[in-house]
Amino acid sequence: MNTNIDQGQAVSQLLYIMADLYKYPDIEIWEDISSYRLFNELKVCESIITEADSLIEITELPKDLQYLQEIYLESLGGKVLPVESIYKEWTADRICHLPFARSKGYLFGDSALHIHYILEKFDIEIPEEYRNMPDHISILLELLGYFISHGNKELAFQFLADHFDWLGDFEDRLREQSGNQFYLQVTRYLEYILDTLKRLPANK
Amino acid sequence: MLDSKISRRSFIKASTATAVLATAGTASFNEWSNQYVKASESTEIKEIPSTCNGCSSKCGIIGHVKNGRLWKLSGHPDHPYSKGKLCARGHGYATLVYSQDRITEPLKRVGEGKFEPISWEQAYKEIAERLNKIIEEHGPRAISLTEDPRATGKFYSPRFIQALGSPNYYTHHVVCSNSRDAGFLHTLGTTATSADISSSKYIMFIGRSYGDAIRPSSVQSLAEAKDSGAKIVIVDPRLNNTGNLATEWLAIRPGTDLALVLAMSHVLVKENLHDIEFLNNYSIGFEEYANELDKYTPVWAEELTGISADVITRIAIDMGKAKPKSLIEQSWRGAFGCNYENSTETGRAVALFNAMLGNLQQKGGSIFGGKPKLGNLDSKKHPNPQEPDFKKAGYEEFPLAYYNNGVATIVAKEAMEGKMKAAIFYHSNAALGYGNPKYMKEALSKLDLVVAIDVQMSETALLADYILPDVSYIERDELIEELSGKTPGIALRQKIVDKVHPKTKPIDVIYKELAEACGVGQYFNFTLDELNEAMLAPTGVTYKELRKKGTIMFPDKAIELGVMPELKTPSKKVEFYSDKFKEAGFSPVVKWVEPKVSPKQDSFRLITGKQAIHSHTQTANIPILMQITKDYDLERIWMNPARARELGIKDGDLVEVKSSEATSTVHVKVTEKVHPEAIFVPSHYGITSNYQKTAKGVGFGYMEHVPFDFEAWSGSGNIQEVIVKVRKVKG
Repeated sequence: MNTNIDQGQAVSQLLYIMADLYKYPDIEIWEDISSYRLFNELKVCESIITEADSLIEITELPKDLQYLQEIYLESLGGKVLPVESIYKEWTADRICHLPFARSKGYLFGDSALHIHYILEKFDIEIPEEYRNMPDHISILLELLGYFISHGNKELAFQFLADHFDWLGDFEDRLREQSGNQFYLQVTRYLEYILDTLKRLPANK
Repeated sequence: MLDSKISRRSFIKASTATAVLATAGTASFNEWSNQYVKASESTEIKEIPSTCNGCSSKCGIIGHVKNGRLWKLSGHPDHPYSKGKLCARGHGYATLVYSQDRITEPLKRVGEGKFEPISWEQAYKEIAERLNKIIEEHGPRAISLTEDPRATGKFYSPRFIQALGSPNYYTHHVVCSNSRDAGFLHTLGTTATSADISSSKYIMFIGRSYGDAIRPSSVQSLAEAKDSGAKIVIVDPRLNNTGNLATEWLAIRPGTDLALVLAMSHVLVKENLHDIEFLNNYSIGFEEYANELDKYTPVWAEELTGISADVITRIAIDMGKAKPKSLIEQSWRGAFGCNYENSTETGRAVALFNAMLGNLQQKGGSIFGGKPKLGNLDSKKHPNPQEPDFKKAGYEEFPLAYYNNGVATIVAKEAMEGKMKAAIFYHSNAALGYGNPKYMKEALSKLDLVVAIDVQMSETALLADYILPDVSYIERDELIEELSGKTPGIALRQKIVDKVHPKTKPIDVIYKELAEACGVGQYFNFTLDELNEAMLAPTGVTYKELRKKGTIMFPDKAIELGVMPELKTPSKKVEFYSDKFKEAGFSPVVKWVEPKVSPKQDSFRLITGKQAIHSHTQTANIPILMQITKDYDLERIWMNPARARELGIKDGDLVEVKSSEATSTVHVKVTEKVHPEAIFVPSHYGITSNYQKTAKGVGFGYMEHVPFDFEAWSGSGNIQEVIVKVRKVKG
């Protein structure tokens, strides 16, 4: 990852846009989506990061905001929560006595505790409703963007390696959902972007 | 640089100091995990006493909390139900707190099965407007509230609906113990006795299974009784999991338990083994009953029950000889809680059989438990809602049903008739579990307003206009729970961890805020803590002390065995002859009543029951419990080998089960452990809610086959008055 200002800003901006796509959609983001302004900006950012053109397109646009909200609630709002803890072993604490301690599928796992630790260490606040779900993808992406924009390359790469290795499983779950594929395409695009970041020369 | 507005929605807020970032090493996951998770034996672990919600028993638990998370659960050593142990359900259901399938914010229906988030304020406002409009147009009789009660709900739910002017408060007992409750209530003056199992010498269970509906101390007591040489007889068309502790299994023809109890009562009289002195002192109408019993001989019962007259006679004589340390366990749902048209009469006959043994309030017998004397709010500061001047819906049709619990399915019936207009359901999946789901769905769709308050997206929630998210039992404080028994006590459910989903709320807060929106907030001008303090006042226990201990027993208030209390029946005695029954148009003495339906040669009676790892359908979506179901194919129906052979069915085959109401396909377990006339299906499966990903698609819903019905005496659901035909689909 190149840390020059333009590229760093572009990466951060791209991550913030992606973070927004995983939040409950409101009229403003819908206007950005439906006018293609948001996707154009993604492409602009992407072009600053890499010369290679993404082959992944977000084409399955919902017909209106109401439909976008519906598919959000049907997937990210409940059945396929984009929360890291769910896709990882709940705890590495080998003396934890809970019957699901080594299982996947539960909120507030070790990854959530780690994000709590980071938030506390860096004095960063998150909304109250995410207090016990701090490893929601939107927060993870914003944190990654923040670390990049503040120039801590080592920390950003470490964070990228630690907290985004579950997206494949998340994508699988989205694929199991019938209906509109918008969030599946968004996630594939995100995976492509994060892979690109990992492969950038400065990251080696 | 960019035109879009994304930055306005940023979740993270960093302070200026944040810009000085630490090095990656200290913040990496591995480093952190090594330091705080893996090597954390020295981390402080808090222990918070509370109560379980894995089933209705509410056993005492200790929640162990590490790093702000639940880390371990154990049974509370002082609680009389857990005695330091916790069952699989208790361990499993606790995972609910971190489940990904919770309802996390208030929702409003916007279409068939479609919901959108709504703020609490807006939800309260809209619900209150609609409730008040319905009351204005149709009167308070057109609104209702139904729950599977827990401590807080028991106080707040009836108070809330009463504050709105309606007496229409109902509980799940219509598909649990309404029949038993009615039978016992009008006979002994209480809806249920308990049993001094560990001291008993002869114990009969009718459909009840300690090994499946686990309360750890009950199993422990039964094991103690067995070790002391007690005879333990299971009367059940299926060999349930109490079989390990039983000395004898009577595979009775389903629906004929009443005949068995009548014949055993006949034997007691004939052999002069009834406790005449007790009956003379503490009962009325025995002579009329004895006359009625004359015709219910063991030979008569043999034909109905399939149990030989010799066995019936032997067991009755042995129980008579062991009296008063012999009993028929009182049961909950068991075989006569809500199962057959004759269930209330079976309940009455069971209570009377125990009275004939003279075992009431005797060591090794049936016990009227003592209750702690708790206080209440000062009604001058906290006015009680006025008692409505009319009875709740269903009372007129079923005056024998225990009034406090009512007949919950009357709500659906009256919705169909256009009389009921609004229904609130709290901690209740009535649409799937209380009556035929097709009927319930149609009934609920006719209501002007349905509100569901729950932790997960149940079938009832899916039919609601508004869904209000409750916190889980791990995340909330509750009202003090009374523990009645030989030694009375109190227990407190406490918040073990902070709520995971900040937009969820505990039920006391929901009722208070909704009452305020409805304009009746004056009846909820207190906090849960204030109410608990008021309840504790007469006990001499401080709230702080109770919070610390979680369970406190009062050994100095223990009941005195051998001393018969005054009963709460009209005569204050055991009523072998009931004027209440007569007034309601039924026989004042127990008589044989035929079940409503009977299987033919080519059909079966569908029966149901519990499995030790599940609690109704509430645990079906718990992954670690459902995995046990899947690992052992527990969702299969049970069929006797003789009938399977006739139908060309082998163990594991896929079959079609067809009733008047539904057709289901399921695999078969061929086993001698079930009566040839019965098909047994566990009652935990058949979830249809898409939101319960783990549960959906496993097994079939028992209630889908149950015709919507009311038992004539108590209004119970007659849930085993179901005939099915079975045919092989695939080998």
